[in-house]
Amino acid sequence: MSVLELEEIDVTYERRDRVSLKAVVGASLSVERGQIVGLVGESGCGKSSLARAAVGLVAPTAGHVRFEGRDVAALTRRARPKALTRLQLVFQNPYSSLNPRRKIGDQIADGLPGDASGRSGRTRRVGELLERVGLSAGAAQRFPSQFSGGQRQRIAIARALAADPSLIVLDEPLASLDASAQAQVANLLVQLSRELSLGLLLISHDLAIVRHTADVVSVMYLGRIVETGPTREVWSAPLHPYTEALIAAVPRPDGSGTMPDALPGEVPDPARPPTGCRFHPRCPHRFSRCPEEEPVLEAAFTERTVACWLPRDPVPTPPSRRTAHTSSTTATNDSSASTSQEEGVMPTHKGGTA
Amino acid sequence: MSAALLEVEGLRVRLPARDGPVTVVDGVDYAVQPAEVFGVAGESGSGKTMSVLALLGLLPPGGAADGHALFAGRDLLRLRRSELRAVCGKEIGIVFQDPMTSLHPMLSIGQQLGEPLRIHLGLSRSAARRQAAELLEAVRIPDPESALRAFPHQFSGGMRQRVAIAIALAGNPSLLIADEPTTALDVTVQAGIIRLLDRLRRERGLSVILITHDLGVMSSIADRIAVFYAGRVVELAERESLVTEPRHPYTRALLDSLPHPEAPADTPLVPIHGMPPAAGAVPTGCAFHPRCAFAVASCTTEVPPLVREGDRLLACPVDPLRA
Repeated sequence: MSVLELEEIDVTYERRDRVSLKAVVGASLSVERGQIVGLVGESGCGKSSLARAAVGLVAPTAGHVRFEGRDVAALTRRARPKALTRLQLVFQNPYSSLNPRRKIGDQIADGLPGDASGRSGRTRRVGELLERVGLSAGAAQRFPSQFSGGQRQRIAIARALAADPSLIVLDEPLASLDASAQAQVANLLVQLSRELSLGLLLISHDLAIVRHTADVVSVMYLGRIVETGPTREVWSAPLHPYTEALIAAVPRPDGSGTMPDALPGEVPDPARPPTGCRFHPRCPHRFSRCPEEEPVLEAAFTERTVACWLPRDPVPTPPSRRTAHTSSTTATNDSSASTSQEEGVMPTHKGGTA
Repeated sequence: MSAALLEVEGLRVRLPARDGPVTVVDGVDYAVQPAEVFGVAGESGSGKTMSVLALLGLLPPGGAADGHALFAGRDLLRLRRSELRAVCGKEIGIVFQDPMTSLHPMLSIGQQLGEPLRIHLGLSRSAARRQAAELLEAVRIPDPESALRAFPHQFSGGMRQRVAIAIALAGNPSLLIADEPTTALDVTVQAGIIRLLDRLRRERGLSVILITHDLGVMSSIADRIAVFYAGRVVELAERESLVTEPRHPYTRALLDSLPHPEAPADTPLVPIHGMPPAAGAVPTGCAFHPRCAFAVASCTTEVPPLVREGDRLLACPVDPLRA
């Protein structure tokens, strides 16, 4: 049984102008113990809304969230049921998620189960948790301002671990960190997941880091999950054109001067999603069916699903479309329209001028 | 090498702190060539941003810079405030990380783009309007005429950054300083901005100082890269040799900590042990020595000078990565 199951989740917000905005539409995913599931997409794709629904911070307007087999009800003024404390959340910004005026030991101790044995037992447990995330037990006496961003994120993770969770949802835990701290925290997450057989739902916009940490990845676009599969296979042979575009846009630190590919156009207003496949206005492979009918997620190959009308090859194949553009000082006489496309602008699109 | 557009020598920057001033940039030399994208890489707190803000007189209150910064025959660090104002925004344009905060939310794009055109180029209102539309066209903003009437909130992050670049280009500068211009953007949008900067360099012969912590971005567009650590340049080389054959242990460690899209998926990320020093608490000798796997006794006492080593500048006398 999966530790966390999201089934056909809708999250709808009502905007001030009374237009309802579907941030998440029919999203399903599951996380097993000891497994890291990555959820990736551009900003505004609904990945954070889905994360918040998963822990009960927003109430889904449709669908079910099940944690260890029981329904997760949205958070109210009452205390959470005890069983739900094993479902934890870590936020993006460790500068705002820790209280600057309290010692970190006390903040971590807040998360310990109430029945933990006495004061000395709690102090010992806090020390253990700090060591588990790579800090010293003595750090408990210090304040958040005495730590770097990477260390603060470790502290936030230690606080989540205090409740002895079986699953942690992490919303962009690496986004505000420098490269070296990012690698440290990413490795820590993998280690914790394996050693504590902890399920992790890792929300990130950074596909490259997700590839090094997640076992399974789901790709979200404008509220819908468009592709799911084992990270390794999704990366090497993406099935959805959006996944392919996301991968092609990642800059390669290889020194070759190869420019990443921009995805033309912008994420449309989620209150007025395009007809048919939501990605069709930006899709290089669209055809007549795409604006007409919305594709549903269907099984493709082993353990993979994709929502796309394109006919699939009999075996997953790496994309061939990707072309190498090198930065050279030789001027090319591209027309304005084609450079617009290359630079990620739809020439015909009325840019933002509402 | 042709005459450099900008030559920085012995730049030192000190900022006020609670316990007296701290040195955040400690003797930095580099030169930027015409039509070159010069990359300044390093982690937060390495002094990469301050080293550039100092040139424009944009240090926080109480900050002081000394050294030399020769730009088109003048020393930027010796100019009077009024003289510097005529250079900044005209001959040198600047783009910041967050286009949400660098654009004025209450002024239309036309007003914000028109102001530098009228002040720096002395254009009339109508001429400025025409020129503004051309600039928006140059950064590929669709439908420039209606964009001039729009306000920043009506644009996406990527489009706002394009507007910010258009404003920086208003005075027809020869040097553009871009401080983390893509950090706040999605990768799909980031790729477009990288391509835009590359085209501006090709079409206008614009030099760009690109400050970023992202060596992936750097590796796509920079011609040469300077790696900053604790207020000093530790290695400076052509893009390809720096990224494929790093010689400073810090450069190497920084590259190893990055996820490489082409590497096998189970390649572990190799984090750098420890963390960068805080300004004011920089270790003696080579600032990187407490984190360096190759440190020897002399590293703890002597500050290694930046010296020419073949095709690069390197501040590591131990040079353990020499091929």
